[in-house]
Amino acid sequence: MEISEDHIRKIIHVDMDAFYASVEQRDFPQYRNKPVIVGGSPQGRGVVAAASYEVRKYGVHSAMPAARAVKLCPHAIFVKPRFDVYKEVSEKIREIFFEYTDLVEPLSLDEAYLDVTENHKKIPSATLIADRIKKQIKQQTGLTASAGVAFNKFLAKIASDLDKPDGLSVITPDKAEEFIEQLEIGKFFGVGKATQRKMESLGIRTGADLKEWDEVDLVKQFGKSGHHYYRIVRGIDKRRVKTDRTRKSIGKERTFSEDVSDLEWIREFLTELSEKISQSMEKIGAAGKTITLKVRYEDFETVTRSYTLHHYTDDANELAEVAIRLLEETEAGAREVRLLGISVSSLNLRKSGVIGKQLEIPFEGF
Amino acid sequence: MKFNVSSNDLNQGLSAVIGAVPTKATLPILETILFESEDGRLKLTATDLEISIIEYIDADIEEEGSVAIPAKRLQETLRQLPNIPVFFEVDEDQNVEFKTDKGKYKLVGEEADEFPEIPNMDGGTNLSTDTKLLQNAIGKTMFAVSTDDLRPAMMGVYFDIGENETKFVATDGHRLVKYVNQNFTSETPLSFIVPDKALSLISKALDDDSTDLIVSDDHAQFKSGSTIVITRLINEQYPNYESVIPRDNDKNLLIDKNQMLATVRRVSVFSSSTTRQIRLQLKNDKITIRAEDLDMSSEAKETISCEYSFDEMEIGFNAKYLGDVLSNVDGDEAKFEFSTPNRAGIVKPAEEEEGEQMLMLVMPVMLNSYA
Repeated sequence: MEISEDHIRKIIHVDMDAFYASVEQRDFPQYRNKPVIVGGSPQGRGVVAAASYEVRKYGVHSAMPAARAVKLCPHAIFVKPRFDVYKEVSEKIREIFFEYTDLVEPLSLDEAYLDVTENHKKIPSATLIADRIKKQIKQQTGLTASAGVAFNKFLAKIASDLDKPDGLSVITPDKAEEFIEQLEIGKFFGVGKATQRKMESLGIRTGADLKEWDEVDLVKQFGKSGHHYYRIVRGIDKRRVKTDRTRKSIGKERTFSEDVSDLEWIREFLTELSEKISQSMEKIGAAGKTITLKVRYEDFETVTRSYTLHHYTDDANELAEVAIRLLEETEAGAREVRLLGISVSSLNLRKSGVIGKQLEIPFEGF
Repeated sequence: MKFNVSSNDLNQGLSAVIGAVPTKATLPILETILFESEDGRLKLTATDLEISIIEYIDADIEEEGSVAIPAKRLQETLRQLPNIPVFFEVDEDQNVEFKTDKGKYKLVGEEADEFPEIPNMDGGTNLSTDTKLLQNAIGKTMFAVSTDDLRPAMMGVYFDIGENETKFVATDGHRLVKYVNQNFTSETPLSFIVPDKALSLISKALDDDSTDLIVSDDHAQFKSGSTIVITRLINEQYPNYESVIPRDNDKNLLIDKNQMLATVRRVSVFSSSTTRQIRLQLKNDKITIRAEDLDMSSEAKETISCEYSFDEMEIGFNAKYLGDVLSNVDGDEAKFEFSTPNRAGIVKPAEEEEGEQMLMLVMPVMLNSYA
């Protein structure tokens, strides 16, 4: 297959398995191994937002009217969505992604593309990264994800769907041609229901069929999209992973098992926390200017105090020094504290990793 | 003090020394120019305590004396005058009055005694060289001087004057330039670091064919014609530059300098504005230069021919560094010497004047994690 190396990126598509339903099953043991539907009430005009794997067997899938779902599976358990919880889990997962790369493109709460061609951990294998990400997600959220690895977004997304749930599939450039040829036409990126019908009427049922068409003829049939179909069936998908959000802060916080008021102990804790944050910053090559201290008092009132330096820092001592100074602007000590956190923002991620790093002349002693 | 001077002569004298007047003075006296009568001429002196410039101009001295006159006001007034005689008169209270056939101007000067003392260069080593040679050496090296206060030794050009040749070296830790000229020598070898601000002033101010140097432990004086520049030297150990210049770079590339420079400049427009990173791919007498900016979804690629017959290789550079180096190559052809993508690249002019050698070193940008 002719895939110019210009377009070879290492893309991972991560898709949480039955995300909302899995979160509900995680938080409510009574739903486990049961047909759970997250969505509007079956009595009203609600739709299915997510369906657990148990209920999918009955033909229930997301976006289906709830009333129809209940006909397919009368004993399904309907659960109201808790978007706050899903968002929180989603944030956690994204933090995991950012450990590996800044190029993260979230498609929704439960799906994202990652470009790991150049990654913070300098891991050469995207498959290995995908595997680690899956494990970390499982470990930190108790949920499973499926991942697809390929050299472009189109194939990565298809790959993540190949082995659901808890799957990991890889489409390497040398396998891509064969893979695309046998792919049903409806699975191609940019081929919707209407286009699928039109293609089938033209005898195009698989990638192999599509590949026989000249670019000119495809454009005659499908207009501008013809160019796209011509390229996509040849494995060419130049879409970049676009980050809508670069990492804005790095921080850690801890809730104590017992409320604390001993200032000496608190200062020591902040020093240790600064050390940990400094290490994470070093890992991803970030430095920041704004240091924020978060204090939650025993009555849950939460205050934050920030200070912005004139320079970027990732130095543990400096972080601790500022945090301890900020501590004086709070009532910690006079009031008992149940949570303390430090975060660093106004990040400069330019020095991220080794890739793109301007090398220095190795002068001795300089 | 009383003297007659042509406004043109005085204007030229003022512009020769004004570069040493600090834009933000810590001491008000530094905002003045010292006027002194000396051997029937007028001596103007300006200093920022680091660099001092002295200029002698012809004047008709009617009464000996000295005074420090505010530089900016004087210069602005004189600049507007056609070339006419100006008569200066300074009284005991430092009131300065100057008259032309256009009118009369008064301002208050400072006592000459208040003006900082200019370093005495007696006892220093004396040398002499061609002014053009010096200006050329400064022009070829100054671009690589560091602006990093944390590496003070690199904030100037290193003069390493030997019995057979002089080496002028500058580096900022990312690139390094070494210009060797065999037409400038000294029987007693000596080396010193000249701060870059002094160099640009020296380059501008020296106005005669030859330049006399006096070098002491802390200062260097450059005298050419009616101008003297005295600068404090950077009192630091210069890094061992010879040890970082690779000797075994065996992948040579020969290329049309102007063509490559134009390509680098065009392609770099599409590079990330923060890293300015471009990639050079060398393969079979061709070099492909590309840039991409992921954030802006922009990219560019150009291929030009060159002489290159070694293993294929890809190396990344900061486009600005590469451009600076290329534009500093004399002649039409540049010669590159590479080894691996994570080691220094060397750039030289393909042809050189006899007795001159130019070597520039540029550190690459990591494109991959080549372990």
